[in-house]
Amino acid sequence: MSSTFTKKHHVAHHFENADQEFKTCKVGMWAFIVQEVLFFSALFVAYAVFRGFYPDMFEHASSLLNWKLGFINTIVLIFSSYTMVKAVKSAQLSKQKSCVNYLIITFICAGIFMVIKYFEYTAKIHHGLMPAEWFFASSEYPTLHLFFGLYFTMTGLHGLHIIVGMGLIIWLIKRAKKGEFHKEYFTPVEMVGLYWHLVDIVWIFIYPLLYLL
Amino acid sequence: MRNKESHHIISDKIYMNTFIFLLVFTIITVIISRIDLGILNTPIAIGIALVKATVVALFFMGLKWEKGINLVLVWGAIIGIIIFFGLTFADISFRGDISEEETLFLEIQPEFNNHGQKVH
Amino acid sequence: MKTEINYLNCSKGLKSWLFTHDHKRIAILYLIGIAISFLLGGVFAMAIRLELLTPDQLIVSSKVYNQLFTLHGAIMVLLVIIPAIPGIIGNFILPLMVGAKDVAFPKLNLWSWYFYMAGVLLSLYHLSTGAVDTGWTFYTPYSISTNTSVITVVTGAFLVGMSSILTGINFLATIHMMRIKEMGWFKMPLLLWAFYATAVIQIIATPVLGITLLLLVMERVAHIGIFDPALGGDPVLFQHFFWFYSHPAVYIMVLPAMGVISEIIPTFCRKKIFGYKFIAYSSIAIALISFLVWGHHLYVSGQSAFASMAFGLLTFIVAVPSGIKVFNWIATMYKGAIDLRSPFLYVLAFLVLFTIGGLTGIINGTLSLDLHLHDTYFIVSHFHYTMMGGVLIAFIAGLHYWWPKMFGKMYSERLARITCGLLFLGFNITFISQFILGTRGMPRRYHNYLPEFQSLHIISSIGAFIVGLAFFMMLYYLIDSLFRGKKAPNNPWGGTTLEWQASSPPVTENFDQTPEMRELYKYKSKDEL
Repeated sequence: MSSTFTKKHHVAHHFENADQEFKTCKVGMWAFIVQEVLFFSALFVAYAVFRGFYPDMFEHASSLLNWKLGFINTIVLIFSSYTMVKAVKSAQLSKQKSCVNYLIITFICAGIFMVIKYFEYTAKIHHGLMPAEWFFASSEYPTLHLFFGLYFTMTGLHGLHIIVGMGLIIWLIKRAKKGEFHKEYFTPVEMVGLYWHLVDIVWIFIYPLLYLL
Repeated sequence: MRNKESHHIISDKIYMNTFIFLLVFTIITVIISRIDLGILNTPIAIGIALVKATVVALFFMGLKWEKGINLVLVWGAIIGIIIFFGLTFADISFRGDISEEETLFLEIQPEFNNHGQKVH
Repeated sequence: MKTEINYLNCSKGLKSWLFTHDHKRIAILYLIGIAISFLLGGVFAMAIRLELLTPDQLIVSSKVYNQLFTLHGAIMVLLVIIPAIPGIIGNFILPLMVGAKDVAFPKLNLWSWYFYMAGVLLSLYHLSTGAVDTGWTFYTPYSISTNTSVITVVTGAFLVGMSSILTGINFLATIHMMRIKEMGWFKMPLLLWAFYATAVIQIIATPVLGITLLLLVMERVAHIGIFDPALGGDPVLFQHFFWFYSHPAVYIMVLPAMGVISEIIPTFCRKKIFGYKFIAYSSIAIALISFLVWGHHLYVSGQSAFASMAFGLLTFIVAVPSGIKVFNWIATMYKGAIDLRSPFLYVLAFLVLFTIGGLTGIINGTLSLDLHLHDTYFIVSHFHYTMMGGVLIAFIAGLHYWWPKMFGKMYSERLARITCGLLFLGFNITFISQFILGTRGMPRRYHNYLPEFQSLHIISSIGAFIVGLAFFMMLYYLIDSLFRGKKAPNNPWGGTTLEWQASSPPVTENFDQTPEMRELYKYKSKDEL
């Protein structure tokens, strides 16, 4: 059902029409996603290199992570990707209320993810399982700090991306409430959606590599 | 309508199936990781992650219906990563192929205390 | 005479410039930032060459000397050569050339400039808190332990990297989506092919620099250890990460330069470019192959012999598309009606200097030769021939070519010619000496050296001072043109690309009427102009 207050979208002056504007934004967004992928990739290369150098240490280290909490986080994030696509589709169909609601659920999922992250981090800090600067756990593996250096860097950077995503979702919720998104214009919702799925994809790799192997 | 031409709206069924697929494979990957399959654990886990990521990209991100430059960009990223891994490991995996000195790094590690500091 | 409204005078005041969305104003903002950075980097170069007049200390200590060459390198590479042609010429000309009103994402374009200036300001600031002395390559473990302001300057570099990525995204989208209807892929000017290929590299390679710098910060702050051998890490891994970006980066530098050359040559030879498709495809080929060769910077680092051999073989391949371009340019000149005005003189300088740079690049890429030449002045001279004799000269050529369009003024042709000659002379004196120094064993980044090298160092320094003089002359006649230059016509050189249909300088919306797509290389004879 169409919303009652739909704000008309004005195409930016340097574009010929709304179609060119939408398609150009999508090209730009995919290019941005490509650079984000390459940004994270070096961390995975470092992970692979050091796993190759210290395989026993890595296997031991991953047993020190809470795979159950990580599992919950994985499910939460996948669910949030689902609610995000539902939000995008709602906008595409001019369903303002369901768009707002799905965005809110996505935001809440992100919040849950960060809360669980908080508990994981405080536990590691409490046990001294940290990068070398702050490491104080006792262990038979002298290079254990390398794993945790990578753990905090990878999950920390990912967490930062979640927080940025949460900010973007709030921005979308505000605009959606004003009736700015409808079948004539839903570009920002779809673009943030693409970003959000990327954040999900990064976690899809982080979880098994750090927690399960 | 302009937007119908430029945009394909994906069905609820596809979204739901994708979501269920992801849930199922997350559970599978956790279960398999609890079983010791030796050196197979790693490639299986990575393989499942790749499948999940592909499914997110194809169906949630709409790549299945994209044409042209967006697809090229994604392939560019994939190939870039393969090159990055491949040529880095051309170094890492073959250290010590010519001389013993190159492997000293791997074999003779300084002893560390638990603060990660070097002790002798 | 009524002053026409154009993008320069349409609005006044600092805010109208600092918050502009107009790609042309943003280009001028970049010009100012890059000029300041170039001046700073040049001052450091002059200080270095002054110090090296004698084998022992002359004006600075070893510690300061290390800071000087680090800053000269970092500023020139990151703040000048990488951003110059995309930031200035790309931003100004690209939308005009496709027939658009602006780039795809004008607000993002402004942010690109903000990120660039943040990088400039952080770099300036860090000079007061402990200028870095690691070499511009920031190799670990020294970059982890040095108590200079690595984090500040590396943050600046990170922001400049973001600027580059956003520019790449903008240009890719603009070229892909905003060309006028009649401009098919093979009807578009070669500069656009160049910027397109450059954008691909900017998008794929630059983020790896970003993460590498972030990891270096994590090393310094948290001692994560992955690059620190004392903590079980691998310093060679840092080099892999660093060069994965920094090798393709040199193609971010040179591809736009080659694009500029491909625009100027046909115009000044009044002749269709030879092998349009070869030049177009070679730009893409260079972009792709550039990702395969970074390990040639690591031949003597301790990487495996297998990797050295693999990278050595791949490095030979990357020279081929560049060679193809040089041949095509020369073939274009053959039997052309050559116009020897200053933009073309700079192009000729480029052809000589870049070819020398490229050939010596093949020498350095040869594994067996690099074992001897690595970290000598031979390498230093090679990259100055390509980055300065190549990219910077091409940028200057482009600046002169499009100066009338950008500012509506003509500069002094006489002074430009003299400066070009002086620059060419000074440059070769500076750097031929350094090729010789390198083959005789003079190491790079050395403050003190063996007395037997002194005479060549003196010759090199004299050349450098001549280069410095030439740049001051250039600064003079270009700025002078803004006040006293003759008013420029819309199309002073008889070019056939769309930007020449706009007025000089253009109005804010670029074109008074929709530009007409004309045949790319159909030149009027000089008499018709």
